[in-house]
Amino acid sequence: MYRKNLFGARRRRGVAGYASALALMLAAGAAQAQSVIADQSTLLPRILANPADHDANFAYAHASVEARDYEAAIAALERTLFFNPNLTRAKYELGALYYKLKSFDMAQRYFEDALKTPGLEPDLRARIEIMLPATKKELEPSRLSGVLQLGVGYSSNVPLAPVFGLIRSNGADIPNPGPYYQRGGVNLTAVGEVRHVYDFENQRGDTWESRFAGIGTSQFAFGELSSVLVEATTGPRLALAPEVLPGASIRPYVAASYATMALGRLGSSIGGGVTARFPIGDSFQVEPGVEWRHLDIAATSRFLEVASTLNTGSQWTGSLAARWRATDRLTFDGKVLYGRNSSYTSTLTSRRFGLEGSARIEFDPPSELIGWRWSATPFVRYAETRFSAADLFVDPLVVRVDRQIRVGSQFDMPITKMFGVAALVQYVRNNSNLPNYRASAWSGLIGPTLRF
Amino acid sequence: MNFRPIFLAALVTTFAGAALAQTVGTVGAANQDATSEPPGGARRGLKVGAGVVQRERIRTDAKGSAQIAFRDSSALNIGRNSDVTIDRFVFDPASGAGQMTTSMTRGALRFVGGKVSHGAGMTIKTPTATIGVRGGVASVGYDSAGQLHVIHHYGVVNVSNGGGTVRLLRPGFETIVTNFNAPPSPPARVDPNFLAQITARVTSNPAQRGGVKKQPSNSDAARFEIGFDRLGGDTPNFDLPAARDNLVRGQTQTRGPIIQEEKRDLGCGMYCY
Repeated sequence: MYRKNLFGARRRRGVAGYASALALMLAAGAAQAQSVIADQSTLLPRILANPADHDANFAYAHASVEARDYEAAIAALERTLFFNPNLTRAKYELGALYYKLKSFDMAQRYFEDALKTPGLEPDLRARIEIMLPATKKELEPSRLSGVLQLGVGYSSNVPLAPVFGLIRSNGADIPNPGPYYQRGGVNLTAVGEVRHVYDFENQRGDTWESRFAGIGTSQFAFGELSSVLVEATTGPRLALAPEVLPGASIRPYVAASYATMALGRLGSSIGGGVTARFPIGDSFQVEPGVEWRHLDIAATSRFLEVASTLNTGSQWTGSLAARWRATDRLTFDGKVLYGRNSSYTSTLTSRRFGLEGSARIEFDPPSELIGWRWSATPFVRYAETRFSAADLFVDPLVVRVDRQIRVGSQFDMPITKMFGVAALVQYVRNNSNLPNYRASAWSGLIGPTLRF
Repeated sequence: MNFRPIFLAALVTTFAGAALAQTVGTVGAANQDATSEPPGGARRGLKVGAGVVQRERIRTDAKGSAQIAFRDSSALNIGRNSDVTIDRFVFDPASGAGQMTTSMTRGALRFVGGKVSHGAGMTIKTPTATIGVRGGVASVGYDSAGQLHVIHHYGVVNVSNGGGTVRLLRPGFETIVTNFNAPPSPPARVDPNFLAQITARVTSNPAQRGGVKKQPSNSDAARFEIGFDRLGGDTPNFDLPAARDNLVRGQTQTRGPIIQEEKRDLGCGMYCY
């Protein structure tokens, strides 16, 4: 009981700390937005008094970009192009602004125009070589894109074994009989996601979106825990009343996944769901969703192979995600979810509650010749799983409750048009009212990325 | 009850008288030959920084082009061989509300919206159609066959005439109007060549400098961080390592005296944690 309270208090302090940090970041984002709007309103009268005040035009364009008033920035920069039609920086920036407005044909025009202008600076050329293909791709009806990473990973507790040497068995604590104890280890991981969008080329903007994602990990310390997980989803994204709710869409989809461990089939799932996306203003959107899957867990050759199939069942998940683009370079994501796993036995049936938050911070890379922004995305995820009945094998008097917190950050550092480096560092702690399920681990992954 | 129209009407009435002679904008750039003719005034050459009043008529020849910058931050880029009149511009800076109407009888223009167009919208009258631009950017111009092209870049654009109404919602789509009684064509992707042509018409040609002596330079722009924007790349999917961890956890957790497999989080996909 004492330990449970101790864990609870730590968890509350930890969550409160992350919530405070998140609140500070939110306040900073809002304050920055107010400041650039003030800059905009003082510069406009100066421009109207003297439109040939080039410094005022550029400062106004810059402030407008920061305030995400892209139209105002376009007006100012198209004015500077009247004054100097060879102004490649204005052409490039206009291309980037129209890109942000999803006016890809105009973006393409300005990028191509900049490329043709004599004396184009090398840094602009490097960025156009990233932006122009991305822009052209958006204009194609069939668009394939993806990002793949091959990395070296490390975990301080590869099997995520219990943190203490005891486990509970039939209501009594006994020494962990193994074979899995806490032990760090290195792995090789390949992770990737490929997306395909087919654009119906109608005015509503309807598309068919497919996504294939997978991860394969080869563990050096516990070879039998080497795993492969792949997942695919496909379905149309249909605009919802684009005249009344511009940008709102709904996406029904089917989904399937397949997993192996030590090259043996672990199981698969199949199901589907529906999500809807509702933009609110220019910088906020919410996305409710619901998903159902049938889980088919394989009988393996290890231990109680029949019992393992009892996990077969179904999974319902409802979620509400939100995204706020506080500034051009700061995006907050949040999600709350609730789900239920139903298995053949009540001891394996559970309800899940989850809360997630992240902040994607984009910044300029150290070299002007790198055409991408880099990003750091700190995140915190909390998940609570409550099982329906006590497991007689473990403790007939205690119904298992797990509380997992996962904190970390991912770093993305694209370098060339196709290649870059990405890293992930995270700490996961699973608190449980049963010692068998208490685990914690530090882990990291770093390696080259390939984008197309 | 929707009070917005009443409020707008009151605003328009209040400001209309004073606004007639009031400067509503500024000549932001002008390539000769571009002239203007204020109501009751003589025709004059457009000069950068000169005030523009309501009902001022702006005309350009085969080399002329201009930009008018308005008090609500919107801008009108007027192309070559154009004839455009600023019929009405009413704007209350405090509320951001107002009204804006222009007429174009020939040529080409690009409207880049400001506060007024985000509210009531901006109206462009042509002999063959009336165009409403709400919260957006649009190009309007005649082709060599005399057909009017209305090209959507951002926001919502309504095109109406005696034949009906077409609403443009997607950037890069256009409607073509042949005459007042023929319905505007269904929205379709704009021909890139025509877009290039109209974009070239509504700015300076390479030898022009928009009416200023000192041109802005790339180093001027760089001082204000213009031309440094970049794309943020798609981030690798780090839900997947979390899903992998849950697989491992399910595989190694113990359920009593016998090590047994639990593989519950197989299908967590987008909901992995």
